[in-house]
Amino acid sequence: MGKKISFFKRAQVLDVKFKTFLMNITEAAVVFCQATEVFLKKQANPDFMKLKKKIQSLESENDQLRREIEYALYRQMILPGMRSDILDLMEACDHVINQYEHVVLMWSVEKVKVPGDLFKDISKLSQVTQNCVGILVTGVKAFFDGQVNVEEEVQGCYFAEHSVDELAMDVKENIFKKKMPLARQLQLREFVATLEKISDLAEDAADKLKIISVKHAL
Amino acid sequence: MTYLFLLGGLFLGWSFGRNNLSNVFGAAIGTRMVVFRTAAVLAGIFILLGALLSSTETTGAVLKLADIPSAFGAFLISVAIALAILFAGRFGIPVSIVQSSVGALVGWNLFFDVHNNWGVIKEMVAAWFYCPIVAALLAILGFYGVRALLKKVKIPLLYRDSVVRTLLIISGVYSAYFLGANNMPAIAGPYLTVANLNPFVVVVGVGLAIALGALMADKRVIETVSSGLYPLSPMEALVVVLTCGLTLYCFSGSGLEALLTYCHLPTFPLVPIPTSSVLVGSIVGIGLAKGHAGIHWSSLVKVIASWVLIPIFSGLICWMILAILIEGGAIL
Repeated sequence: MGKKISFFKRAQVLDVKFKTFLMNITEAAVVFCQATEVFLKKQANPDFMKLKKKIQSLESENDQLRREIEYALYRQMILPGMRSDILDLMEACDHVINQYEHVVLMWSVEKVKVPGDLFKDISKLSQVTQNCVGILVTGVKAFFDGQVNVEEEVQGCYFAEHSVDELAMDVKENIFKKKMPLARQLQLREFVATLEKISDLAEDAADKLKIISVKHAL
Repeated sequence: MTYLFLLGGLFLGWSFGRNNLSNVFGAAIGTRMVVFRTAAVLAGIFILLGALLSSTETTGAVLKLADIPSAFGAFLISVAIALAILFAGRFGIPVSIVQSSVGALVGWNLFFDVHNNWGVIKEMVAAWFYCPIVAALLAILGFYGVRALLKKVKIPLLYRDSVVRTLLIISGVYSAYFLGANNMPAIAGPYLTVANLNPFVVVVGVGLAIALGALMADKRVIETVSSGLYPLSPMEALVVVLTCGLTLYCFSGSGLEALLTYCHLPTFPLVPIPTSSVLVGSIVGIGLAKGHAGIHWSSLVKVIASWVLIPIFSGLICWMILAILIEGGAIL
């Protein structure tokens, strides 16, 4: 048994890092949903700042993990034929969590006041985005777990991204229907656009996942 | 003085090791799954073991080809074979010592107007042509087998990497063993007919030269093997290395021959086969199984052309060396 463990030791250590990296993205998506609820109701209050800090720490942990995985893949010559593709995919996933951090930072600095009638739509936007990111993470995890075909997860991610696009368009239309200064309308539009970008980045990562799974299928 | 002429065999062994590391570990090194030095050391050790323990079955076929009267004659044949192999290596062509060896022995026989054993030559040449087909078929079967297995059993990517790496080393070692068993007679064969040379010393000396040659292997040939014909993934490289080992076993193992005879099935001739042909066959097999879109046909044509050109070339070199020496008054 001892020998079995040492035979797979390098793989086990790296597998834990990969899983933690993906889990952090899922956690960031969940925390972001909570942060959205808090921000909509109470702006950048201490509770929001706590959630913002949590997302920042997850993002920073993922940066560290990505560097460690990159170093291990090259130093220990693991997955030599596909490591550049894997690192590309990880970087694409990292952009998603970076965007989560960017959004909460922007909200905490700009302290945008969202009209009450948009709360429901923006909250839904945040949830569908979480769903999109969740499907992406499931697909990436399935690929690392040896699933040959990840088409279902990739399509799920595309579908969720499309839903986010439609929802975001509705919210933007509502913003510009309202009687308020153009500057505020533009600020709210940017607020929605940064949120919408999360699912766009998840879609980019899903594209990479699709290519890597086809390219490296035996 | 007699043993001094063994230098030709040692040079040939060194040249063989330098060229043939690619045939057993090239795909593994090319996909960066196995480190060059590890592969070279393991190949050297197991080619030597195969040559010492299992080469008797194929030795008979080579010994039937020519009867070399002196160590000097064996030396000249070795030089002709080695020059042909070095010439091929210069162009990055994976070439087999078996073809060069047969070419040189035929060149010797033609020069001295000695009757060539055409029965054995025909058997060998036929094996050259169908061993890549056997390898391609085994590679296709292996490819579909592994693919079906991976669809049924989900092995996490990182664990799969560890498993494939280990299997590549095991199958490389297996192939190296049967490479030694199958090809050693082609290298040491001319010396084994010389009466005053100890066969054990010949085989051990040549085996050690092969190990040294493997350590100084030709990286250009390894590049041709790993990506020149068809770009291989680590899993495909495993199928290729395993296929090479199995094909070499088919043409070297008397155990398999006995089993096939017992089952009233046609047997494989126990003759030295060109490992480069086996390798090319298995790589093309993988390419065909995947829809042959990625096969570099121009590289393949270059390799196939070498199968015809190398025996002719080594035969000509042998003939020319003999002509020059006999003209100069040398006594063999």
